[in-house]
Amino acid sequence: MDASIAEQQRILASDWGGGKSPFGTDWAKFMMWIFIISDALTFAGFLVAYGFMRSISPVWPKQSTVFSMPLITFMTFDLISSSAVMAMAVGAAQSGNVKAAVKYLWLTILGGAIFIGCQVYEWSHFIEHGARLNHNPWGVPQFAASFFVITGFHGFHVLTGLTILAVVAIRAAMGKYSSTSVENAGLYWHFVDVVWVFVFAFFYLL
Amino acid sequence: MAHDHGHTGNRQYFTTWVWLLVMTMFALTIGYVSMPEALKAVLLVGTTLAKIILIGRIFMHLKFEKMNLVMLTFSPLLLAVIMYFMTRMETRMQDPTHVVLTHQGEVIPTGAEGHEEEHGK
Repeated sequence: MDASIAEQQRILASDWGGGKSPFGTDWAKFMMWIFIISDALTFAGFLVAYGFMRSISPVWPKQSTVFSMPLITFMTFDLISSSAVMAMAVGAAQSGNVKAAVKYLWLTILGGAIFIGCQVYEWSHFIEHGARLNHNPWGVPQFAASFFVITGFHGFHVLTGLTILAVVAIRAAMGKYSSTSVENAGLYWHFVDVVWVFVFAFFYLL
Repeated sequence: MAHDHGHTGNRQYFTTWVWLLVMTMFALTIGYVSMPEALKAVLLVGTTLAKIILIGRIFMHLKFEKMNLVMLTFSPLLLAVIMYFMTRMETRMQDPTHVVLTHQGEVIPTGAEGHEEEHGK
């Protein structure tokens, strides 16, 4: 009998025995990682499809002649900065400094809102110049479609992130505070930043 | 514990932010400087990977996580590479029969035109 209990304890103590998380994280955070991985697959699909379209197109518009590169660079700077501030919010939340965490969360939201504002400006100019989902004045059929779909999906993720961050910030200010929720919101926000790093390099620079 | 974040402070976040900005400026320079497309692609992919590793390690605290979770998070990247090289086999470099049409139905000549090797014959 003692031997079977000892065996059971040995199994539970092992990584995959059911007694502890094999990934060393709590449940909520692990689920956020699973969501991020599945979302990363979506963007991987978009970017690979874009790479394929670029490969089959003999010509492609030079991005710097179509987009305002100073604006795109500013958007990148803004999102990287908001990601750094978000990391500070998580640090403050984990050390129990609620006031600083809420302050950094609102600064992150401000950074995200500026990014969305820039994106709206960029989209409106692109549309004004005649770009539509199924045709564009630059001659390459897939150019506008890939722009709208890739940056549109990313922009939607930024909007979703802003909503999540606002909910977390308001709840923290009301005293309904959990450092795990700040950390999970932070993971999502950094993921949005990671996606933009890819979009910036492959869509706007390459 | 794997998720003990006690050693990451604002100073390290600031340093990471500076490095990310430096790499962004480097990527921007690569985008503007005239060089062979293949070299540009390699440099941009390298810079992008360095940036995401930095964001993942420091901002997302992956340096505190177990290696199995770290490997799981990078699996989409591996799948993307596989998908890209799979579709590359169907590009103009590989398939001379590809035709690209404009919205008006006009044929855009591809780089494969005139390259009509009869494979396997």
